[in-house]
Amino acid sequence: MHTRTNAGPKATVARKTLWLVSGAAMNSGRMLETRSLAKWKDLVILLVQRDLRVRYRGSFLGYVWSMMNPLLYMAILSFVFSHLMRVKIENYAAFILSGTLTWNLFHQSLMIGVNSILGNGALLRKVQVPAALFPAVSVCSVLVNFVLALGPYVLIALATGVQLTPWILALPLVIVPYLIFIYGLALFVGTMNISFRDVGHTLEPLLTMLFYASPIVYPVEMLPESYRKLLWLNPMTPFLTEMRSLLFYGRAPSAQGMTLIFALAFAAFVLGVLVYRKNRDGFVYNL
Amino acid sequence: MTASSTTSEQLLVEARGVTVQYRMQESHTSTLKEFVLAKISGKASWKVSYALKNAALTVGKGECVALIGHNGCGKSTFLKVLAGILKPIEGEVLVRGRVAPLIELGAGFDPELTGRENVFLSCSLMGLSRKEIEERMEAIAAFAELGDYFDQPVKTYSSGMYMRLGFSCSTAIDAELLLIDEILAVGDENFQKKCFERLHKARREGVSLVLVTHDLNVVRQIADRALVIDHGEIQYEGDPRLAVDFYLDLMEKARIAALPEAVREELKRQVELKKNDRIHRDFSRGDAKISRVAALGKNGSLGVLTAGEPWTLEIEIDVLIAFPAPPVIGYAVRRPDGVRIFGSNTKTKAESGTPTPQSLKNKGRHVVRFCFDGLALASGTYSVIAAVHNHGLEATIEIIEIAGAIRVVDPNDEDNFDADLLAANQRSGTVEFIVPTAE
Repeated sequence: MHTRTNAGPKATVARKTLWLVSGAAMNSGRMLETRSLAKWKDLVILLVQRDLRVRYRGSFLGYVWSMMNPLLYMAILSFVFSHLMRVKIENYAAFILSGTLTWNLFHQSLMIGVNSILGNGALLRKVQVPAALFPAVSVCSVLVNFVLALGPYVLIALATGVQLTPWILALPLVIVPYLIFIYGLALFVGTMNISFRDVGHTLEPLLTMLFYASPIVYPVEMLPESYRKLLWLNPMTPFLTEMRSLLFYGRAPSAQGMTLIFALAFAAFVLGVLVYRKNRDGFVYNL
Repeated sequence: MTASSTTSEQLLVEARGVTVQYRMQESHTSTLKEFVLAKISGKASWKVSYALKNAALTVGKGECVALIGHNGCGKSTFLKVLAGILKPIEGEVLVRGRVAPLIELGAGFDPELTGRENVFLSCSLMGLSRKEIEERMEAIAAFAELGDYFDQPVKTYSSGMYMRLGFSCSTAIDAELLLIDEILAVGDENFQKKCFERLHKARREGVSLVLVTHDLNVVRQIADRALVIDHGEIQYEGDPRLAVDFYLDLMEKARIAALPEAVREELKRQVELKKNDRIHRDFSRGDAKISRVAALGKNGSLGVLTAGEPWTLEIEIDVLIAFPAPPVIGYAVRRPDGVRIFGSNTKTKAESGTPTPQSLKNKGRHVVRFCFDGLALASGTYSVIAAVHNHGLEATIEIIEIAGAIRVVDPNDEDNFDADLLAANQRSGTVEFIVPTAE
C-alpha cells in the first residue's frame, strides 16, 4: 500500500494528484493540496470580505464603527481612571487607546476565532477546505478593524501632544509576531471548542480577567515592585509594552522584549498547530 | 511498474480498503464536566458503527459510476471520502485532477451576500482563483438565469433560484470529476432537464462522474457501472441494469424480513397452496414443451426485424400428453429493462375471432404463428417470453422467460433516441395454426 504512496511523485508530477488520503499515514500523507498561494490569498480575502460585509450589513455607519468603538471605550476608561480613580499619567487618553487597540486585536480575534470552525461547520461538511483557514480569516478581519482604528489614534495622539516618532513605522515588526501569536491561540481555542463547547463560554470571563491583569489601563511601573515580576508571567505584557513603545512613547523596541515576543509567537503557533493537527480528522464527525 | 503506472494514469479515482467509522457516545458528553466525570467513572463508552467497510472503487476517465443502496447505507459517506471531506480510519484514496463536489447545491453560500458575491466565494472555496472566477462569471450568470436578482442578496431568492445558482457554480469549475449526491432530485422539470443536459455535455467532454441517487432510471440511463452498497459494504459491482435488479432484490428481501412473523408465514402458506393446486390437476408442468420460438421478418430474416414492416412470431410446441382441452399458447415482448410492452395468447385470439383448433389438445408437434402487419417498435433489442397454459389459464404448463431476442433496426432512427416512445400494443395481429393431421 505504501509503495504506491511513495511511488506517487512520478504520477503526481505528470497528472497533478489533487490529494491523497492514507489511513496509516495519519497526518503526513493527508491531502496534498495543489492550490497555489495566490488562490489561498484570494480565498482568505473573499472570506474576510464576507465577514466584514456580514458584520456591517444594515448598519448606517458601517466601517465607521470600527473606528468609533475604541474611541468610545477610551472615553469611558479615561473618565473612570483619571477622574474617578485619579490616575496621574500624562496623555492618559492616548495612553489607554494605544493599549486598548492592541488588546482589542487579541480579544476580538479570539472571541470570533473560538467559534470560527464551529460556525463554518456546514461548509466543512460539504467542501474540502482546511478548517485552520477560518481562525486565520477571523484574525485578518479583526486586523482590518485595527488598521482602521489607527487613524483616529494618530489624530488623538497629535491632538493631545503625544510625541510620535518614526518608530511608529516599525509597527509591523511587532504586529507580525503578534498576529502569529493570536492565530496560534485562536486555532487552539477554535479547535478545543469543537470537542468542548464550554471553551466558548469560558473565554469571555477569562479574557476580562486577563484585561485587568495586563498593563493596558496602567503602566507596568505603577505596580508595586513585588507584583511587577508576576506581570511578566502574563504573555500579553511584552506585546503590550512593545506596541506602546512604538505607538505612544516613540521609543525603539527593547531587544529583550522582541526576543520574548518572537518566542511567544512561536510557542502559541506550535501549540495551535499541534492541537489542530491532532483533532482535525475528527472535525467533520463532531461538528 | 511501468505497465501498472500507465493504467493507473487513466484512473481518476483509486480507492482501496476504505473504512469509515462513526463513534456514537452512549452517554453524550458535550461539556468538559461531563467528559471528565465520564472519564473518571469509566463510563465514556463508545458505540462504534461502520459507515463503510473495506470499500474499493476505481473511476476511469470519462466513466460514470453510480452508487445505489438503501438510506444510510454509506453511499454519501463514500462520496464525502472521495471529495476529501471525510477522512477514513483505514484505507487509501487517490484522486487525480480537479474535483467538483456537488454534495449540496450552494455550499458556502452566505444568505447576506449577493448572488455575484456568493459565486466568488463558492467557486473560490472549490479552488478557483479570482481571475478564473471573473472569466466564468458571465457563463455562470447566464446558466443560473437570475436576471436582476443576480446582484441581490441570496436570502431573497426562491429555493429554485438558489439551486440554479449553486448548480451553475459547481459545474462552472471545469472539473475532471463530478461527485453528485442526489441533487438532481430537486428543482422543477426545466431545471432538471437543464442539469441533465449539462451533465451529458460534461460526459461527452470526458468528465468522469460518481453519482449517488435513488432514481434507478437515471442509473440505468447514464451509468457505465453501478455499485450496490448495503450496510457499508459493497455487495455488487457491475452492469447498472443487473445492479438495479440486485438492489431491488435486496430491498424486497429486506421488506419481507421486516414484516411481522405472522404475515411472513401467511405469504409462505400461499406459495405452498399454489404449488399443491397444480399437482391436483390432470396434467402437470412439463406436459407440453416449447421447442422453438422465432421472430421472422418480411424476407424470412430470423430475429432481425425492420421497424414498420410486417413480421411473424412463430412458437413451436411439443404436446406430450393428450390434454382434456386445447392448451393456451401465449407470448409477451419485453423491453431490455424487463418491462413487458405487449403480448397476447390464443385464448384472446379465439375471443376476437380466430378459434383455437380442438386438435391442439392432441399429442404431437404444433406451430402457432402470430402475424403482425407492421412492427411498431423503436430500434433496440427486445426479448420474448413464450408460455403454454391450460385451457382455463389457471396453470402454467411451460414458460420460457427469455425465449428469444428481437433486434429491431430502424433505418430512420438508428440512434434510438426515442426508445421510450414505444408503440402501442399489437393485439390486432392475426393468428394461424399448423396442427399435425389426425392419425
